[in-house]
Amino acid sequence: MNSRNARETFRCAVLSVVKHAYVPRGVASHPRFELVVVADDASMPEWVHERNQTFADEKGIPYVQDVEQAINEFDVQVAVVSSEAERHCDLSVRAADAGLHVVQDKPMSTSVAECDRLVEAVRRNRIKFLMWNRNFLPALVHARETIESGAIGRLEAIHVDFYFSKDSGPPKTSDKPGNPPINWLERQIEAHADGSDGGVGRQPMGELEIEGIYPLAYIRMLAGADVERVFARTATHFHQANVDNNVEDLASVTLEMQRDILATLSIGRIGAASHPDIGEIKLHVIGSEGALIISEARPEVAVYYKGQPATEFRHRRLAVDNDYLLMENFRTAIETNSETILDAIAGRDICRTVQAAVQSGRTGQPVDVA
Amino acid sequence: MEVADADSDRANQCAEQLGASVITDGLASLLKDHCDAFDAAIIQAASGTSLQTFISAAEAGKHLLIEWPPDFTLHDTDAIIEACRSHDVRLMTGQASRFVPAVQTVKSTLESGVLGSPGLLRIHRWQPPRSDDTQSGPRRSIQEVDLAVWLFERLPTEVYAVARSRAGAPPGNSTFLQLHLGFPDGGMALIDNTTMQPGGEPYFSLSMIGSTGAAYADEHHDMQLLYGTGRPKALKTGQGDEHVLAECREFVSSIQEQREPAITGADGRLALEVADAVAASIENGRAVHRKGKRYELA
Repeated sequence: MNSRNARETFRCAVLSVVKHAYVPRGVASHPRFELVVVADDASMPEWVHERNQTFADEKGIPYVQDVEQAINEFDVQVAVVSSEAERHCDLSVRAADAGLHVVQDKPMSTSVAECDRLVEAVRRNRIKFLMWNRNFLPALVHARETIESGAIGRLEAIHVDFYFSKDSGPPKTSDKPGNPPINWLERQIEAHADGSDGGVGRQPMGELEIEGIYPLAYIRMLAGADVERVFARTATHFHQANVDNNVEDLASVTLEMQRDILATLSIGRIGAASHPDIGEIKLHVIGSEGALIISEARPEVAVYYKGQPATEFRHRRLAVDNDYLLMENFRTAIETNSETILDAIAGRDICRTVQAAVQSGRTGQPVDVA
Repeated sequence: MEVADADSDRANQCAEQLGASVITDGLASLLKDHCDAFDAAIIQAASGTSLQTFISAAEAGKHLLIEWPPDFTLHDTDAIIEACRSHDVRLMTGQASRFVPAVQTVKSTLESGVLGSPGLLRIHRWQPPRSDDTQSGPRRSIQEVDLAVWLFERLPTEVYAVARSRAGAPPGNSTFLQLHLGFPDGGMALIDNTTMQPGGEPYFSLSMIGSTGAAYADEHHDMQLLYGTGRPKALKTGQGDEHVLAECREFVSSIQEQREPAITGADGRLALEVADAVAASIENGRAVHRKGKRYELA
């Protein structure tokens, strides 16, 4: 596959597409990648098949209820995995074992053991793997270039706020005696309508597990260092679904990193009322010679008008080429045998950090990241 | 108005600005030679200031507004609180940060209930280094600790803190103080107190995520742009020194109205208690939990 003609497209199989399809759409934004088939296991429930079929119909490509058959029959070189979180690694391993390069939705997994299995499959099959991320947003590119230019000297500390101002079903304390607890999967399926189904799957996930990879990937990219120790506080502060399923919707994390770098992360699904747009996402970066304050949303343009729907963002992001740049990075990795911006090992390390934070939140103790 | 300072240059400069009529080398001299010339003292004391000086002031009937010296112990604080109580003088803890307009707005909004219950407080305070010892140790973060206790209206039950020093910094001088506080009912705070390079501009931001809303008081939002040659520069439209004046007004009002000030000695003591837990966490590399009425290493 590495010898593929530079003008040929990479044929991609979409292995499950049960969320809001941003990953396969992002893949297709690059002219060298072509979606040719959607596939999933026949044993999946009907709602999964419905979503797969809907996306296949939208793209005018077939939907095959047999992953291995689709891989064998459609001459694909790339798998795009966008299933429920608990199936991510398994589908990616199967694709890797079939010799496909893999683009995978976040989170990598909620299980470090599953991540280990995927890391080994990537190594064994010598394929390229890209965890979907936001590291090519304009503000992040700007931050990275500024740091690499030496403008703030040696990086010493980095603090990230990553709040999504989204609701997630009924608010906390809306529960009444005798009400059954909210079923996580049912809630996520229902949330598909407004795009707040980032935690789709049978296994309940807190905000650290659902979204943590984005800010932790920022920290990893900008610091160029691994996390060694974690202290975290976690809480169910907003949403009854999180309370009923004992997974946090608000968390704060202290990260002690290699080279004495300090980092922190505040993260939460803080409710739609708490910010006029998608949420406050900000980086404070301190170096030996200066500091940098970055608003992830910029550049943006403000739009206000009479009758504007309450759910419409007032500030619209501009010049966002993240999808294309991720796929260009992936293409380069395949064709030059280089590493992607967030490969399997990095994804596994972030999963370890997340799991350490969840453990710390439960025990009240700092946890070493193995 | 009188000024007392062991540093005569600083005393003269301050006296000139304030139009003070008396200048001495310290509070003890002021009490000894000019006791009838003033009713209250505003004290920003350095380490090494004698506890007895404060107690003597209280015994002389002077109302006190004190920024606690960095080396004061809880025992010292208790002694001053008791001296002020027994001599019926007002004791206010100096904590001007509470009076900053942006912080006042966050607090009043939180108190109005529209933000719901406080969830995650985030504070960044970056400041240029100072020559005195108030900048070096964990006590440097006491203003942010006080803000956290004030906004959550309770003491943290978990404290974890990390300190780092920049290469070349004097021993014991932490460039970075990172505080992580856990409050009952799931509340939490992340506090970053950083000493910038000499000549660096200060920066402050505070955000509070509540259960039904959020408030963001961020100097990043207060920046204007100056264009010239080269890259544009950010210019901060500041909030002035109104907060210092407001602090003094509150002190004076509490004396005139014969009531407790907005920030009592006991409030200051609570912040000191947490700051000591911060120091213990840094020293031991472990979390500190509140058990009963005291903090213990977990």
